[in-house]
Amino acid sequence: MKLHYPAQWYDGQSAAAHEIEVHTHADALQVQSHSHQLIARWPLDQVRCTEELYGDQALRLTCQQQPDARLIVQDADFAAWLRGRIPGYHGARDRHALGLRLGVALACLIIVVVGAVYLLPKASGPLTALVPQSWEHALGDHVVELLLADERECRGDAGEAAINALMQQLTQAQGLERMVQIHVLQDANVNALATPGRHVIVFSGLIDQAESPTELAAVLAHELAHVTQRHVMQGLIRDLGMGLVLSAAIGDVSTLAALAADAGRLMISLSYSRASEAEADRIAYATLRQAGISGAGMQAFFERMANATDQVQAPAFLSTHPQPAQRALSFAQLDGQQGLTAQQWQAVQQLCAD
Amino acid sequence: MLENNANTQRIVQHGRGAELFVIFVVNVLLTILTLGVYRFWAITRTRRYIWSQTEIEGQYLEYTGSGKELLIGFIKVMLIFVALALSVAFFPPILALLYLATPFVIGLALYGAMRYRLSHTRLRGVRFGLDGKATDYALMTLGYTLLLLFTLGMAAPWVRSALYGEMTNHMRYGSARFQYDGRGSQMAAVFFLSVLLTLPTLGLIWLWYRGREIRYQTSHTRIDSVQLTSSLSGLAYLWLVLSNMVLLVLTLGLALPWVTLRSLRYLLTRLELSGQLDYAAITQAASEANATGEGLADALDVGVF
Repeated sequence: MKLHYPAQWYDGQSAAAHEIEVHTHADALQVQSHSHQLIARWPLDQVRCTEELYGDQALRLTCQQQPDARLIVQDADFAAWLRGRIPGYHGARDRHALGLRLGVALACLIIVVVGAVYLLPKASGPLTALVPQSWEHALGDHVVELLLADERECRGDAGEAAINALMQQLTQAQGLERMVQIHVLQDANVNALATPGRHVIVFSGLIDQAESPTELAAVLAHELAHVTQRHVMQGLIRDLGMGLVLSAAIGDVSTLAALAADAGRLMISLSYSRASEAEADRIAYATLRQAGISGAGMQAFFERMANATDQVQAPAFLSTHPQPAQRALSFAQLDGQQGLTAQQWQAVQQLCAD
Repeated sequence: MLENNANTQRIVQHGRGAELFVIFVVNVLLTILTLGVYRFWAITRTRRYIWSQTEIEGQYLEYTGSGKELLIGFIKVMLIFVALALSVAFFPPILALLYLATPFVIGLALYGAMRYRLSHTRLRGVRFGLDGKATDYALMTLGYTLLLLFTLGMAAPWVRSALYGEMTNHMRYGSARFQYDGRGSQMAAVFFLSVLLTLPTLGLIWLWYRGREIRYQTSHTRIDSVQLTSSLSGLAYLWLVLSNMVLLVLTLGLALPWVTLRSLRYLLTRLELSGQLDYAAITQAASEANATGEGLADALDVGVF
């Protein structure tokens, strides 16, 4: 074992290279010129490598007491001697035996990403159960507040009383205690939505398009199911969780890769949202039957929607909802009442008229 | 000391995709486990690898930045953003002012991020650096953005040259200065040709333009007495970007480490240096900068390199 090795020294004041000798001592490295003049003495516990070492690349050392100076040693014997003697240096990484580490790394990555993508949606139900109802209500109230800031809510005592009466029947049919609040918004879209918490929002376009109260009842039963099953909260947790995992996996380094991953995330998210919709349909069906309201309206409504969207039908895997044509069938044989009297129905229809 | 086949190539990237990939995977796992907080350390580790595998005339670059500094920079910027959001909530007209200030803030971010990176990059123990005031660059960015609006973008070659020059002329390696002597007018013909060909090429011509711009800017940059020359062609750059995209999409982003190193190598093999740096005469000058600019660039998602 040699006691000194040729090395290069950069003093931190200039970029000039100095050819020197480094002497190994039990507790320190001693930097000396060839004429045995002492340049520096570095206690081993203060010496660090400037980065991880790969293959037979030169060791680049720095010392905390002289942070600008660099000592560069290209010598396998010295590298072996130093190993374990300074903090953080346990030898160079082998540049030739990368295959195994690469394989392990790739396997880990695939397991984590697939696991996250597969398990997170499954875990979103149980996770939702952990979210206190009061948080969800606060979130829902806030969403509704934001929506109402931009859109006009239709008010009218008779109409509101009628639609609330309909909702009352449905809530009771589901055996629920708490009241869900309905808001009718002046908006031509044929749509209705459930927020987190206890709100259902109906756009006036949907009431205009509905030809009988049973159609409205079916839509309300469907949205009510979203509320009771906390589907919105589940979707929120699922999307946030997957977004976190995927953005970590892809990093913000590559916009393109992020786009590809986002497309994948959307697909998964859509397939789960179709599952939620199907569940809501199922519960809506049971609710209508329990309440004794006819399913014919639902059938008619879905059929009309299927016709209206015929030309621009998105493929099933790109849609948030089950195909309208598929949905109508299940409601076909459900007999029952209208749900509202003719008078009440008129009041609902006129809610947004003025 | 030069081990690469190209004896004339004086800046060589020795990094290996597989090694960077292992770092990349560990980064991903730790980032997930820490709910994202590790990403500042992840960025640091990636940079340290890439820097430490970049050889310049026999010596290697060193990155001395730290994840903690990046995190602090990011937190500072987030606090400022929260303060701004609150001030908008109480006094909405501030929002209009913020919109107007966007180019200014982007200028601040770019300059600050560049300053952090350069001041944490060393070669032969000597730091790189960026002098000048970030606010000057930010004001320039704001003024030139307004100029671009008034000229419907036609001033772009001049604006881009001026901004590149403003930054480059303040860059240093120790006491050695960078200088840019290019002029916007010399890119004007190429620029207007690209404008004409935008529709027929579905915009792809702009990759070609960017390649020409990199070549022009690099070839008009010198470090002290060393003149840089790039032989990157517009088509070569177009090919680099398109093939990188295909690689990333086909591998769902997993090829990122290889793509990163390949791009660096692609540009470096087309880079030539003529003249000698007198290393003995280069002295340590710049001090280290904080990471607020990096945090800002991070928050705004504006890339520097």
